[in-house]
Amino acid sequence: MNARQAYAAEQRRRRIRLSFLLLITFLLSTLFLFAGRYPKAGFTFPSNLADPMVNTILLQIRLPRILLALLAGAMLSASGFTFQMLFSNPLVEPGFLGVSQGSAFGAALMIVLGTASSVLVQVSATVFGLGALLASYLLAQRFRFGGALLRLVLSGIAVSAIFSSALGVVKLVAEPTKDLQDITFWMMGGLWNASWNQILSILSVVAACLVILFCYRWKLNLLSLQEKTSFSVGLNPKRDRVLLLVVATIGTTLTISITGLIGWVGLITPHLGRKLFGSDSSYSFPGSMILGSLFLLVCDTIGRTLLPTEIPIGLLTSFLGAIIFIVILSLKHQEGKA
Amino acid sequence: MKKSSLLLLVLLLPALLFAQAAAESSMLNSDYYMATDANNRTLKLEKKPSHLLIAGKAGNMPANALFLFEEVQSMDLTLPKTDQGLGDFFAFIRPDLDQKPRISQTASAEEIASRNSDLVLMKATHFESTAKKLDQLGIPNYTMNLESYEDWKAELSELGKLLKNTSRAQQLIQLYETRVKFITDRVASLKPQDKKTVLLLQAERSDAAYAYKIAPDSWMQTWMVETVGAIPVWKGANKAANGWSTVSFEQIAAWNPDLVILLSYKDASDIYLKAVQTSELWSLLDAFKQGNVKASPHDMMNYIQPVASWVLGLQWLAKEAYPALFADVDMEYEVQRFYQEFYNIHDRAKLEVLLDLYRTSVASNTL
Repeated sequence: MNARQAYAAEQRRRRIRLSFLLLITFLLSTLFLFAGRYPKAGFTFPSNLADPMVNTILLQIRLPRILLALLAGAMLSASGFTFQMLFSNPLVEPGFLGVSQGSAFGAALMIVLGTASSVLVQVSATVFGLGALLASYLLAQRFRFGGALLRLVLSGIAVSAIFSSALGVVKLVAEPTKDLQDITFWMMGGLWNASWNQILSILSVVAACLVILFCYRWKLNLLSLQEKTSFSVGLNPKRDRVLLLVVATIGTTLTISITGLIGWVGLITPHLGRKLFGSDSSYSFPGSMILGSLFLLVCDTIGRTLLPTEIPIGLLTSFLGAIIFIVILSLKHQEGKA
Repeated sequence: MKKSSLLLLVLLLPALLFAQAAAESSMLNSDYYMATDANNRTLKLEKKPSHLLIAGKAGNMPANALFLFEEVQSMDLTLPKTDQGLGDFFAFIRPDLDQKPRISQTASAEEIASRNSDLVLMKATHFESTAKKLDQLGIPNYTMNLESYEDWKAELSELGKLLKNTSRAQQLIQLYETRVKFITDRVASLKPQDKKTVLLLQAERSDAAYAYKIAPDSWMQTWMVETVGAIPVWKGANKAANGWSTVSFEQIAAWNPDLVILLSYKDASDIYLKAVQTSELWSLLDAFKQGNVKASPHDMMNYIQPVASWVLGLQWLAKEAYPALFADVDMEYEVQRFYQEFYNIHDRAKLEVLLDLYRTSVASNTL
């Protein structure tokens, strides 16, 4: 088999894997639609469909929640993948550059100010998330230390710390019986409040962000190279980086403005994607998106079915994410030894 | 010589007896201002506190207990924010409190010290963060728990000792006991199959989205449902011992309770009832079909929480769960009687304000 045939065979294998992942996601989504707490904890059987309550729960509660898990998982993973490639750093996630902390501060501020509007919470989270990104970028321009990427990393750490302490101040003055609990629950994340209205409120922008990132995925490999190299192959690295960062940030902040902070999805699933599909982002990017959807779907289904009360999804993604992370690193280590 | 010695003895004897009596009286007085707080510390005050400060979050709970004693009328008070969102009951009954700036709920020990109070009251949860520091500064402080019926009885008794008014403390305890016994005596005859299943849900909203939460098993809300002879369907479900946990509508439907009570401590509960009344999902619940989804009662504080008026919440719950059994209970009369007996409010205008708030809070239950 010559190199071209080997490459074609590898591409075919990747397409098959991608199709298989899509199929698994579809099958699990369908299966999980019938998993819940009503009429009893476990699966809803066809014999239960005569109950009008079951139909309403399936269509008004479980279906929008599953779709939100798929959408949010895809967006967080796509953002994580983009950040990791742009910064050539596998430990980067959407929370990088202060985006998550900025969004959390924005949302907490609105909760404490007593707004009853979730739209305002969404807008505030998005504005402060973008503000954090801008602040990190501008700060990096002023730093006189290291290369461009290192400066951005350092400014991101500083901006994150500033928004973390600002969030601490907001929590300090929050009403303990209500606002503080809301902030805590929001920060833990969750899809318990998913509704058709919520999905529709972010669908157009998040879908647009996903489409843009998907269309630009081939550039990610080139942008992960040194600036001179990517410039030499006809890219405008500065412009493309800013564009992709802004798109990934908007998608992330909008998503977390309704789901709350959900950690690990954007960190772990790009790693899994690259593990399964290689470093070529043409396949590993969509692969990561599907894995993100799948990961969040599984975590959310556990969170809503295991106990009578909701388990905050952030706890589950952190727990499962950390286990997967350890496994990936252990496998890499063993491969290295071999 | 003998005569003079005898005369001296006769003269000294009354003086000695007087000194002994004075010492005994002093000790008795000293004991009167001595009480044990929720953290098992014994506080000994030489004089009755006249400048009192309530520190920390949830300050409305110690304030609730304190205001049950008439001594509070002559005290110079510094309070934290005590309005949960439905009105400030303490400023309502003592309007001069509005003239004085409130102390921050997160005030430091130094800030509290700068107010020069004779005594600082706070929730027992602030023991580590505030009470210990105040001890280091030598500022008398006293913690209260007030999270259960037993806490209320024990801590009112201790507060009575601290304020040198044990008779009022005993009177208050008896008032609570009489009301609780009235309910427990009547529901004692209920057969297990006749017991209603009840679900208390704390409702929260954000725009058009609503969240419903259940209380931990150990909280007073769960005890209240059990005390009225009903079955709290959520018991055992909330694994978070220290707070409310969100439940999905699916789980509510799976529990399928006979009676659902919607609570809110920040908003009027009927807001949530109105949302439920227009919900396609909720209309499928049996409790909804039978008109048994209710907004919880409140005036300036919700009755279904560990504040002094919890006993009104208990009476209201009993009547809602078993209307036939408590047909003779007139809640408006009970609300009025509660404020007369517990808070010594006899001003008709003030009673009418509180009654109006109560009526409004439950008005949508009968629509």
